[in-house]
Amino acid sequence: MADDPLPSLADLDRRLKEARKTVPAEPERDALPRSSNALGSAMRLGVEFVSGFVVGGLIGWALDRWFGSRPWLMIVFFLLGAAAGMLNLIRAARRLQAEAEAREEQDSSTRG
Amino acid sequence: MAAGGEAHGPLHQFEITRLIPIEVGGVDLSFTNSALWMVIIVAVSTLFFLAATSKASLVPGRLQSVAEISYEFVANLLKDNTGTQGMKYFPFVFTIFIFVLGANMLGMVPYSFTVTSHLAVTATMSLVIIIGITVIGLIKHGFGFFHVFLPSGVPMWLAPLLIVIEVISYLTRPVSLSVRLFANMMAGHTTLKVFAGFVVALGLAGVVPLFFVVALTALEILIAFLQAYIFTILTCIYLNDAFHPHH
Repeated sequence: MADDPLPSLADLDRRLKEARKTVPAEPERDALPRSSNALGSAMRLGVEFVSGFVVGGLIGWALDRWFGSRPWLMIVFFLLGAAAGMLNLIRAARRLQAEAEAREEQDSSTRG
Repeated sequence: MAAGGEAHGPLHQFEITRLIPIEVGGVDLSFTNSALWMVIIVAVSTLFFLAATSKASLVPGRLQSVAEISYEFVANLLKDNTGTQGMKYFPFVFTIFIFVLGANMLGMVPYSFTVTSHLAVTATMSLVIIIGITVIGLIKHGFGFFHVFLPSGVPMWLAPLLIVIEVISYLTRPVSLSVRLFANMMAGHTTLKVFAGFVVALGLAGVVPLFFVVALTALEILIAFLQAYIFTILTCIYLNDAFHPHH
């Protein structure tokens, strides 16, 4: 286009498109949310832990009713549920820690 | 309950009333106040985004910038947790975020009904999310999706025990997802009402609980946003498992 008022813009657009094609748009880590405060994470971890017990106990209770083996399966599954609750807790805590560390790193790098 | 001398106790706000009774084949499908508020949430959020995007300009106005910020917020959440491939499910995740946020925020309006303070509503949402994500994972990876239940590098003799624990852990997801949202909203609104009851009961000294009610209202608005955020980020994290079943 000869009568394009801003040929540099069109050129820029073309170069941008080319650059986007070669580099996959990777997520930038600069937009870490800050709103996960202590109260939120405490609630999150608590529910994560307790739900393991609840689900384990419920599965055991249902299986017991099915097989008529009260109360053994419930005891076993309650303990397994406790293990699952721990697992949930550890995973959630790790995630929170990773978030906190990333945030700290970002803070120290922006401050120089 | 700690209800004062009020005719309406603090739990009155959670009561379901039938507005239009409908019964199909013995199943109660009545249009309740809960359903009405869900319709209101959908209508309000739809109208908001229609209004915000009707005059799209390069330099956004107030409404448009709110819409853009919410888009970017959810898009970043999804990209950070699932990578760019997760963006395919952006409409779904965005809808969840806006619906939960709308429900929580509209629940803060006096005399309104908080949809998310009912376990039936949050459990339905989280079941849809978890079942949907499981189906996505099965479609994407086929049988390989079951690697979610068996971390790599586990000795064979431990596998049966670990698989059971991992399956239980997977089943806790809809429970924790729904209970967290429901418990937060229900507990917060009950506390607000209990304190509000004290204001009337204590007469002149009611200024003290009134102060607390004001502070709690601010906290509740924060929690309303925070819980919508947590619900969404957990959806993203679970969605990530559907893409990468190997931890």
